[in-house]
Amino acid sequence: MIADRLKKLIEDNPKANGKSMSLQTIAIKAEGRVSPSYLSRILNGVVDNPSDKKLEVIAGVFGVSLDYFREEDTQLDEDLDALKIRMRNLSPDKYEDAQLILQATLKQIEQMRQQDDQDDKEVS
Amino acid sequence: MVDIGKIEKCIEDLEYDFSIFEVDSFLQAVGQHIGKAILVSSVLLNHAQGAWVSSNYAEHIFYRTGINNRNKLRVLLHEAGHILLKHDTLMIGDSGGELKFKSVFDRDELEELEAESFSAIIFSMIGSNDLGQGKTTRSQLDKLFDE
Repeated sequence: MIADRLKKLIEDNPKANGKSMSLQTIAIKAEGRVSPSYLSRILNGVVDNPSDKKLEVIAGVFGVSLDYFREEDTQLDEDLDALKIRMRNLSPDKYEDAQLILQATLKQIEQMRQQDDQDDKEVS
Repeated sequence: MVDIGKIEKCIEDLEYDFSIFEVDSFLQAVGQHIGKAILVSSVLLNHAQGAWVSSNYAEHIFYRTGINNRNKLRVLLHEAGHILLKHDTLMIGDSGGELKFKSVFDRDELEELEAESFSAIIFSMIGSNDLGQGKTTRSQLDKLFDE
């Protein structure tokens, strides 16, 4: 989940030329408080629970708060973990469909969350 | 055994004017009735024609990319039937510990028959009204999807 959120931050914050920010650039912007290899390990899921201190530094680079990584991380994650275990019982064709539907649903949920956040910001 | 009376009441409770049926306004009426948004999108499914997933944010209806408009309408009505008939489905983010993922693909046979009946009843209603004599033509279906 942290990896997905970091990936999304990078996708949503391209450089002026439209290309994705490199891990080296992020590390430089973080003034060396996180290394490119550490960022890579997060993105690859090798480090799946970075410290708040590290996440705060990364969040700062993109102008968001630590909450971006930690918010609503619990119930949905638990649901998804349980779901993935159950999905293993499906036949291969149904399993593939299930994954597609799950991904599409999560994408829609994410879009609605972002819309909610934007609406909240506009109100405040 | 399918309780047709229950399904007809469910349709009646929507208070929707089927003589001027439109897909968007129908799904909007379903959403208003249950107090939740209905999101419809296509997915490149291999096995299923359609599926319905529920979340805190919306009811998510999916149909297989590339199916013709008649099947698309049938899928949308079928899944709307599941929603209105309060069938089980996968809940994301508000599961209360009970996930019902299996029901998305291996539904209870009675629930499937109920959703099919729901779809068939509405097909007959719109077929005998706006779409003409119980038989919907391709151009009439295309019109429903504004294509």
